[in-house]
Amino acid sequence: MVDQRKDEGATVRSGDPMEAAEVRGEGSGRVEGRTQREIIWRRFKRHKLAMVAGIVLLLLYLGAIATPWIAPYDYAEQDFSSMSQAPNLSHPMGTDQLGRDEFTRVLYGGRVSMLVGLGVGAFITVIGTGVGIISGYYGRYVDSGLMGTADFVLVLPFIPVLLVLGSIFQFNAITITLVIALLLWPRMARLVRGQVLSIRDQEYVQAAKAVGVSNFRIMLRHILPNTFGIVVVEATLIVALAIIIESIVSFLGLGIQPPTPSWGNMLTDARSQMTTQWWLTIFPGLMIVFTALCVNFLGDGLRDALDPKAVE
Amino acid sequence: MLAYIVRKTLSSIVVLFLASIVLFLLTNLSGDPLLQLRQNPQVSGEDLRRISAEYGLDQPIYVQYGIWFKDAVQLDFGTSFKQNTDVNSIIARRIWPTALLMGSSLLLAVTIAVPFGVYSAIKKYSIIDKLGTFASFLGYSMPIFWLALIMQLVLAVYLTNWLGTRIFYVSGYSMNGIVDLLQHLTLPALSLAVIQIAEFSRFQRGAMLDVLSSDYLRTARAKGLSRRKVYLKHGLRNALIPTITIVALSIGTVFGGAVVTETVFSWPGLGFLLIDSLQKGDYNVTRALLVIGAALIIFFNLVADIVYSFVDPRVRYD
Repeated sequence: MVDQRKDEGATVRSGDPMEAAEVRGEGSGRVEGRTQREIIWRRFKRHKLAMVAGIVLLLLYLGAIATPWIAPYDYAEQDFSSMSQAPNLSHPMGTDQLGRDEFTRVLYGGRVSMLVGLGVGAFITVIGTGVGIISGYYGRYVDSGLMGTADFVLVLPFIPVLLVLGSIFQFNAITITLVIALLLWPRMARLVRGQVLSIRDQEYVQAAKAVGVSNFRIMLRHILPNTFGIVVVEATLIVALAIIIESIVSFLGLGIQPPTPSWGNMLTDARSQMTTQWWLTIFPGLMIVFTALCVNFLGDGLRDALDPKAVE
Repeated sequence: MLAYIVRKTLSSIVVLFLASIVLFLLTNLSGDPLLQLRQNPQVSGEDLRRISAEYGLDQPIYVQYGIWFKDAVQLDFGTSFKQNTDVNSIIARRIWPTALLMGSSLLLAVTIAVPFGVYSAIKKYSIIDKLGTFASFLGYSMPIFWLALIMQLVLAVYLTNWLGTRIFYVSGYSMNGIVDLLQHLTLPALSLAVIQIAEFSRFQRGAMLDVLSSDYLRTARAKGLSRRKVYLKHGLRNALIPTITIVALSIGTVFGGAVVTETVFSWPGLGFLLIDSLQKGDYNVTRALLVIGAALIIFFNLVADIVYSFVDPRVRYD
């Protein structure tokens, strides 16, 4: 979905002194060109759907943080005078059979679901990038050991193992985040390793080695920045995946436990009343799809924007 | 070539052995099969010890694994703690519903996704391609259980109320003739297929795009072959290779999808059995299912590797 429009004003430099200083700092001097960051930003802006998705996601996460202040009711507050109401003005998403406000519960459920998504993304970015870089850089037995482990984790049946772990530990938001991350990091590690293998033997890395830069510093300053593109894209995909996985495990009753609402476990309760109270099934599910869709669109836009081979 | 297959097979067996150890320990923690007896004041400590010994639960864990392993190699997965029968016969009853469900959804997904992926690649950036891209994003973002719930609500409940007669059933499994079977099978198979279509069609599109930009395809066009012949004979053949791999790999992971779909539709297959055994703490059944799940993934990884080495002569065997 690359839009090939010519952009206007191609040589205008941004007047931001901070960015200009950075250009000089990187040794490219003050030229009539664009910094890498500007190029990426311009390309990303062209991807309208990704822009909108990014903004919506930002609002969703702000909403999750602000939930205790913006939620109209308490998530456990039972109101027996307004049980099982269809969506109306005072309850925009209706109420459940205990008179709890569905909108409030969707807000609180979103906090858990979106925290798990972001948490898994962050963990896997750290573990996967670390393992991938070390594996690709050192090669040989380090590589075969780490990648052997990665392949081994990939062989375990993912959802069933997660369910067994759920029955052992009684997941909360933190533990389910850790466990999903521990089962999903190999994807990122394999991807990063592949990228590192293609960087490792390039001249600038050899030059750094020749002048005596330490291995750690080479990995940090010369290799890590060049894996940035694929890491960011894969991380967004993992955030979406983690949100969906959490909802599946919670839906099956082995994830986040009630009374703490999550989008997944709200749907477990909704199932028995599905035919009479459709709103309890529709809204939490719509939120999962909507959030995951936004994350995936954002990832798609980032993929186009961060692709170094794309034409400007 | 033969050496390559032998080496791959041997390493698969080693991986399966390691996986069985991990899964054994994991399932061992997942429940206490004697919990009910322990809580029952009428069962004396003497009885408990006797029952423990009967199941071999009083042995140290590595001895338990050894005993389990010796039987499992001969495909005997022990006895259920909760039902008075062996695990094998419990699983045997559940295999066909799962195989039927998975087979039909996979067939549906491949017959829709492959032509669609190829078409989207040939007509890149057309309206159909863009709609397809959007739809597959939607598929990727959809938790399968919610799709299944919505299908139940719309196609089973609302449609039945509106028509006055029932076309699709919400749940269960029944084999009274082909029509009855289809009425029960359609919704669960469709909900599984939707996610797979999203995945496979994107994959097929990407593979076809790669092939379309290759030199040999340009040569084929340049020497005057018809568009149709070039696309179908030279293009599609090679573009199918990655798809074969991804389809083979996805057969290995049937359990994940089966657990969710079978729970929602009360489909009496292996996934339903997994949830059931977890809830009951019947970990001999859970263990057998997990090890079989891992074995399937490992096996189809192996199949994908071997098939790939046959259809793609560029794969090297060192």
